[in-house]
Amino acid sequence: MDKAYDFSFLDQESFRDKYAEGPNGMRFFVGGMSCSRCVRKLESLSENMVGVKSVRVDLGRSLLRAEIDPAQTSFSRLAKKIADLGFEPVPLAKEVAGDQQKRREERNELIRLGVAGACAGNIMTFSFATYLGDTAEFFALFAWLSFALYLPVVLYVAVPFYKGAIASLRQRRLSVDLPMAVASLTGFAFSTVQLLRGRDDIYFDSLSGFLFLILASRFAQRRMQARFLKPEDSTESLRLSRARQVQEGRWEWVPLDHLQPGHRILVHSGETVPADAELEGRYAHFSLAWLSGEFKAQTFLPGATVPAGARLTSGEARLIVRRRIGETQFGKILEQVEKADLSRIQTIHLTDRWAQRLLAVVFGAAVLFLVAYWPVSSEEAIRRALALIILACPCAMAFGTPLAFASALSRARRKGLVVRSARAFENAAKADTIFFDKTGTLTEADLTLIEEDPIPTHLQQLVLALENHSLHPIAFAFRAAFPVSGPLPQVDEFSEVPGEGVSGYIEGRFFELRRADDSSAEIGCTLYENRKPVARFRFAARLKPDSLQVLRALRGQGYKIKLLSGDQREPVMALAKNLSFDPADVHFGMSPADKAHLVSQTPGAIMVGDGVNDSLAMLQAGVGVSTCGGVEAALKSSDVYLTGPSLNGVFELIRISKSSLALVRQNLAISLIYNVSAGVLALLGLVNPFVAAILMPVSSGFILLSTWVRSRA
Amino acid sequence: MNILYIMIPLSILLGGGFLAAFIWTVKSGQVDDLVTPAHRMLEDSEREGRSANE
Repeated sequence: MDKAYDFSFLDQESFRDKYAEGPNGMRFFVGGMSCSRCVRKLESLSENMVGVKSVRVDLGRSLLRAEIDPAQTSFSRLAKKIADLGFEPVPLAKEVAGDQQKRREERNELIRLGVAGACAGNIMTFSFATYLGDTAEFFALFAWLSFALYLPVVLYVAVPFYKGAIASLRQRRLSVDLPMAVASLTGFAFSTVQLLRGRDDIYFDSLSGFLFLILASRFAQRRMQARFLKPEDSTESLRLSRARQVQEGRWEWVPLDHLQPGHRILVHSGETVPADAELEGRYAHFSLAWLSGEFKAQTFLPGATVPAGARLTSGEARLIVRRRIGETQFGKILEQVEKADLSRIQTIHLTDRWAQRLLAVVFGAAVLFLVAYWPVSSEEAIRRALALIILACPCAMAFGTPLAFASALSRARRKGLVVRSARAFENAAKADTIFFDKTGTLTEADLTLIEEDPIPTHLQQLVLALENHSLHPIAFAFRAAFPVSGPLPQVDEFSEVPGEGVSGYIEGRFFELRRADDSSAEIGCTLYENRKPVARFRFAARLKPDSLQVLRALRGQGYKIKLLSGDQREPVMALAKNLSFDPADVHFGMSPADKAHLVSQTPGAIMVGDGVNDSLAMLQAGVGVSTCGGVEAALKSSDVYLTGPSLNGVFELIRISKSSLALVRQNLAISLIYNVSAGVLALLGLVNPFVAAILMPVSSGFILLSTWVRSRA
Repeated sequence: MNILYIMIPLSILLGGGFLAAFIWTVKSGQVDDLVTPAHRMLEDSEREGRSANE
């Protein structure tokens, strides 16, 4: 049980290179921080613990950064102290250049927003004074002041729009950034020319105003997204970043990438085998649940090769590395997940189909008008076409859509869903098929004893005594089911046969617990007294409390529900019958690749799972949902993470997605009405800067109002 | 209306000053974490002497 408290590896040089920031700093992801008392407790370590120079907590992201004096204390002592206080510290690998870059961009974005707000506000005071008052003598001054204040906007604030526009053109797509960039630049050029000619159609106020609004709504969406615990931040879990290497009879932690074929390693109970490795010495039981979804532990004999990703269920095992993790099936899955994670982040900003159509129409109309009206009056043609582009700036998609998704993100958060990209809402609303994994998703991850007849107390004590030293999942299930009353009977001549069972003499009688699986349970065993059966026990992974209810609700809404499992036919079919699945919708004995293939046959489906064996399927799915307690690869490959044990989150996700998509459509409809009417006015030549300055905030106001009303509902 | 010739530069100066202050707070990382300080304040009775920045 010293696993959680063993941080000694942090003091080794090979790990310090990986984790330490600066000479004496380190960051930890700390689970269990929730309130101001936690902040106080942890931060006061810098006063209460010798050698700790400073501790800063970031509650929003569950991070802790500490600075120590290595002469007086060590990182391992600090980590142990944090663990003793009741938290779960996980050291984080030091920030790579990418993280720092990201943080710098986040700050720059905020500065841009500030500059845009300050400039837009000041330009507004000058232009409204011009529109409303008799300021003939100040007109030129105000116009030039507006020009000066618009310079930072066009030269600094709007730069991301230019970049986005160029990037989208390279990919031969229309994006929302394109009209922003065109409006900002052409509006600036046109207004400057008019300013020099002493005319009064100058659009600096409307341009800076809408750029500010768009930046603000994008910022709100991004902040909302960033406020979630990002799974990738917490995934630097120890489980797969280090291994116990055995040298000259002693073991020592080494970073995972130091392992080479031929190295001897030690694995403790509950730990994952970090490489394809050959078992030495004694037999051992490994659970392949993370790979295959099958619950039964398998027995490996000395000399057998244990695949990476297998988990030792009991005792200790000594192994010789045969293949490094990167070359194993497990490692390859992890690698694919890693790669997909990167490409997924890049696709967030691509625009919707509707928005693209609207854009094409607005730009098409402007160009057509320009060509058609050119013979009548070239100046008027340019003026009106520009007014159209500036006014019909697709506000709703640039402004209404991020706002709608920001409100959906915050509602999802309140329901305990971590949604990693707004795109998940769109896909979840469109999906009509939902795939569920069995083990760990619909069922609990541990085995439970299915009790039919009450078991007499003396038998309970006998079983507990026989299983007392076993770390097999069955033993844990017995311990959970039977209360201990008094000291356990003494077992003589105890023996354990791998894959068979345990036996021994108790008070002169010979007792045996032997495996006897039947078709209705995942695992069964029988207790024999002097070779005569006296009791039968059956075990299954219990259904999560609300699985049935959630499935029924989803079926009620017309969703096609399918069950995927790596497990064998009998236990899967038994469960499927309980959950009233159509046998045609149940797939058993699936490998990770089979699952991924099957899911990819149904484009846009939702995949709900928890293990490494589900991660490839989640990448293929329209939306990957990983359940609470899932492993890192599953978290990384999923778009949505359920923080509570309940599967109800799947239902909530669909509900929130549908309502947020309806809101997006509503905002688009509002902007369509606005665009059409403003476009007609612009083409008729009825739009002057005053009208534009009024129309712009009115349309934005409508979108704000519609978003607000919807998100209250 | 000549007063405007003083007021406008003043207002721009004032606005610019605030903008500069804002940019400084962002650059120095004061707005990176908006959650914890609110909690820290509540429990921080014995540590008046310590500065808020590292």
